[in-house]
Amino acid sequence: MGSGQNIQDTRWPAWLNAAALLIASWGVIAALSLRARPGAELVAAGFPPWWGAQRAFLAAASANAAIVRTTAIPALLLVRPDDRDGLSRLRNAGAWLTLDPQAIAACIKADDLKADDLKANRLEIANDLRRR
Amino acid sequence: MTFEGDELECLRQSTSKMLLAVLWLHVPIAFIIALTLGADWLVPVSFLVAMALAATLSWRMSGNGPSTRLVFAVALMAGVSMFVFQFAGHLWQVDMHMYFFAALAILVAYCDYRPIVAGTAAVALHHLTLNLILPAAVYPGGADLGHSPCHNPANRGRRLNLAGADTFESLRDGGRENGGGQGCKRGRSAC
Repeated sequence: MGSGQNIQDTRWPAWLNAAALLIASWGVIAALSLRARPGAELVAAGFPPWWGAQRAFLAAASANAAIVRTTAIPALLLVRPDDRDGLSRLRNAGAWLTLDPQAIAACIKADDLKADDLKANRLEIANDLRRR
Repeated sequence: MTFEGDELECLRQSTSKMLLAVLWLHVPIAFIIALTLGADWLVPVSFLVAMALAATLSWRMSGNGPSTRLVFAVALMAGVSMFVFQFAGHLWQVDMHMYFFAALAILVAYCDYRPIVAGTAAVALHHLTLNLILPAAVYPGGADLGHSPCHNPANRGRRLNLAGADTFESLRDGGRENGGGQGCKRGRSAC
């Protein structure tokens, strides 16, 4: 270990290498944490974003996955994959991502919030009509 | 205002050498953890080799300057984050967080606030983002969002104290004898 002398290098800022390493390392850990584990009962399947809900449904069905629920994003479905090679089947059917369902909790919550908002709006309209 | 005396430089050299050994030691530790938990070992081991390699290359190519010190801080915290991920769902996952504290405490030996800030940023990024999108990756059984804001200010406060005390000692001792701090004198024998 004969290196370690203080060499001044002014080509780029001192923090740039560390920032690049931070982003790369975070990306790897996030990807590892978010991926669906083999044998997972529920999986969030992300299809290409330009696919509509109908095409995503058909693709999930062709992979023999049971659709559990939709999310705020039409191309992102919560499915129960097939027992045998369910994740590979989903990928072959066109799924770009197979994620841990907890990773898309925000999407599901957003969906639920939308439903709650809808209920609140309806209640407001009903109250308004009653007042009139 | 920073003091870059010979003794301080000597201490930083020793710290980098020690941290380099720690970073390479992470590799077999990740392998042992994976084998013990019956999990995949290839990705964690490759990740930790990449972190140790990045630190080694930085040390070889740019010396022991601020850039290398920041890279060491980030590589160290990334290694601990990987250990926390490896213990996901295990009872010891919470205990692995203690290693964050130990790793940050080691960075104080640099007598430089910048690696401490970089290490804190790395921990905050890991905790806040992953706690938001996948709580189980950070805390066993998942946690509410309040856990990280509670956890991180405590860390940041402690680190601010460390950085403040460190700067104060450097200034005081540097002014007294135009050299490094008391800690740096203690590190002289290691050079």
